[in-house]
Amino acid sequence: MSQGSSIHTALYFDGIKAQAIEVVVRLQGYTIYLSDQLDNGLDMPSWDLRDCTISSLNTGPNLTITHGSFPPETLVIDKEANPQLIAAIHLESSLLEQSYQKLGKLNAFTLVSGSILTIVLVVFLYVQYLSPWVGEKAVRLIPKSVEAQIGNTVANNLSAFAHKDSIKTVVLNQFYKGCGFQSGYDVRLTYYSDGIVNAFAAPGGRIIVYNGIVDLTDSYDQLAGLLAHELAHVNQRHAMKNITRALSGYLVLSALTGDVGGVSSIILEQANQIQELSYSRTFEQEADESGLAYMINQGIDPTGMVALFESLQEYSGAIMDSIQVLKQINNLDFLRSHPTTTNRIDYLNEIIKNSDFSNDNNIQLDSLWRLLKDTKD
Amino acid sequence: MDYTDEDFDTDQDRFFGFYGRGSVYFGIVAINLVLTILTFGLYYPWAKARTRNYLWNETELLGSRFTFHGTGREMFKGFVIAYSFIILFYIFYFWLVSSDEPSLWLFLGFFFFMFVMFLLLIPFAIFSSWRYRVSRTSWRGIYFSFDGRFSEYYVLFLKYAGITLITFGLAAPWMRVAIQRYLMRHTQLGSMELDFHGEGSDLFLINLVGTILSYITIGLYIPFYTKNRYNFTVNHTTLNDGTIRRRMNSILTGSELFGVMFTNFMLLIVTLGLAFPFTKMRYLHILLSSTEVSPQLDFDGIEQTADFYNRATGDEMLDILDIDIDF
Repeated sequence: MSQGSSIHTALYFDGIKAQAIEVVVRLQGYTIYLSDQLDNGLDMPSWDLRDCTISSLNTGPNLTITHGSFPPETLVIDKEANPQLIAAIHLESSLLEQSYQKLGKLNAFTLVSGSILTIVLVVFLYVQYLSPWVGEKAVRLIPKSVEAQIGNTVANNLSAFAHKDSIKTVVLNQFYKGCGFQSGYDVRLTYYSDGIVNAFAAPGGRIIVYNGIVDLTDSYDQLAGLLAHELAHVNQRHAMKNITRALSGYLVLSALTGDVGGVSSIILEQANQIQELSYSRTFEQEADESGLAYMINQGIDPTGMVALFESLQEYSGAIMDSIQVLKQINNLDFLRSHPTTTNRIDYLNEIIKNSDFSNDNNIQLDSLWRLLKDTKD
Repeated sequence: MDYTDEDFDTDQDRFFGFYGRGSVYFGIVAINLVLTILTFGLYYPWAKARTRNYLWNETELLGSRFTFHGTGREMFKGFVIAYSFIILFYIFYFWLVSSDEPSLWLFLGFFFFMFVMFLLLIPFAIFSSWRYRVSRTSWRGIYFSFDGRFSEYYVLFLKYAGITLITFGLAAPWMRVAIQRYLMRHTQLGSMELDFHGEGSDLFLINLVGTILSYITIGLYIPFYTKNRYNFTVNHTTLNDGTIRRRMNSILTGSELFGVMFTNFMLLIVTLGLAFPFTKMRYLHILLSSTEVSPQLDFDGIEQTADFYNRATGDEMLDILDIDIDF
């Protein structure tokens, strides 16, 4: 490309001294020719643009071209005074860049994207494995008073649209007291008569029992088995752990950012959904084992718990055939959150076989249970 | 003090110039922020490179601009180390919090970890950041170089850290001055040597007066305090061109700085912080344009030998831990 009659001048630094030298610049093809303006006879170099680094900054009044490692020669071209030269250099270098200079850029890109992929993988692993563990451990940070508060919220919300049977609630609590199970919480039971076959434990000691599941029992030790099971959930804070597990990601984030207030409000909001939370198999197994231990300790026949599960299994088989399937599913069937597999029953029987227990008939518990079951609702 | 302190002729064009514009810098800061967030922070080294490229290139001395040669890639390695330390810290923290009965070993391990962090990592970061930034800066094709050695520096650091600890922090100005002197003394621009001659006692007084007055005036004194600290650093920094040694000079006044800082403050409030790029440019401009070098020094005669060049760009730069420090 012709330069016309305009002469392009620039400042040249030879990389050995800090003194600026005024030079005349000429671009031919991809070669830059420099000549000493003052004609001092100084030997001026010519540069292959492919060996040069052109400053990538769009700001500043100059375009800087550097050449060589030692000495690092620098050419500083005023943008405003030499627009055609600047344009020509840009054009030429972009043509060259397409050929091989792109390779250098690729590395930074692959580095960052590779790291992003690694981070995504780490996050995935964390969510799948580490986070649940963190969530469970985090439950230690929640004081019992908060748990009780949550449990009360759940129970009170339920009262709003469920039918509480006050008399039977008193009887149920007497029954529980008669069982003699131990707990660090203030355990309070409530009896509802909506026909639902379900019972669950809210955090902090509130246990909800529906008449549907009570009617399914054939003896008082089966009811005791149910209560022992639910009490185990309470004592081992399963409901709370479920919540913190679900929120563990959020917990970590708020710990990092120091935002504590947001967490507690989320927890309370989620409180109502406890009913729908299904326990993991581990929790269920823990509850079974502990429940059995409670019963054996208090001299109540542990086979009651097994019998209850067997009844439930029969019941589930029955409703599969009946038209009440849909209705029952909507009513939060006990089985949805407590699947009674044959394995589970066998496992319980195994434990019972290896335990010593007494089989005395507890008349008080028996009569209380009859009150609960026999009275027509 | 064996350097001459002569009158600076403020008519001569020996002042630094800063030409950064808020509008341009805003774009840089915004893009950096978005990309850094999108990449979970990994983009940060490249963001730093981009920022420094711009800031260095808008700084001018004697008609020539500075150039930053560092790349995000170089800074990435040190960045990963710093990142990992932070993650390690949080892992330790959560572990401690979530254990019922943390073992004695865990506690010991945690304290040892914090110990290492403060007593090894931080001094190393200061040293490494300075060395990296210095060696990646050039002016008129001449590179700055740093020949300090970490072992020397670390001994100095430990000594002063110990004294500062014993005096409950009172000796901090002396520590800062000592470190600043070490770093500057081992820095040079080609054949031009730098040095720092400030005294800890002077800095102590500046801090004492500054802190007290700032409280009394509910912050109004802060620009004056800042000006005192800035002038202290500049006026005690010397340049030696091989023949003579002269200090740098700052003509920054408290009222000038007050004007800039106050209007900056108002701007930031009104724009809810968005004007930050603009205020930073104004701040850098007032500081740099008040700083001059002596007309008697021969800058054209600065030389660069292969040794200097290699020291600046050599592969010994493997352990870069570049944390943003404010000198």
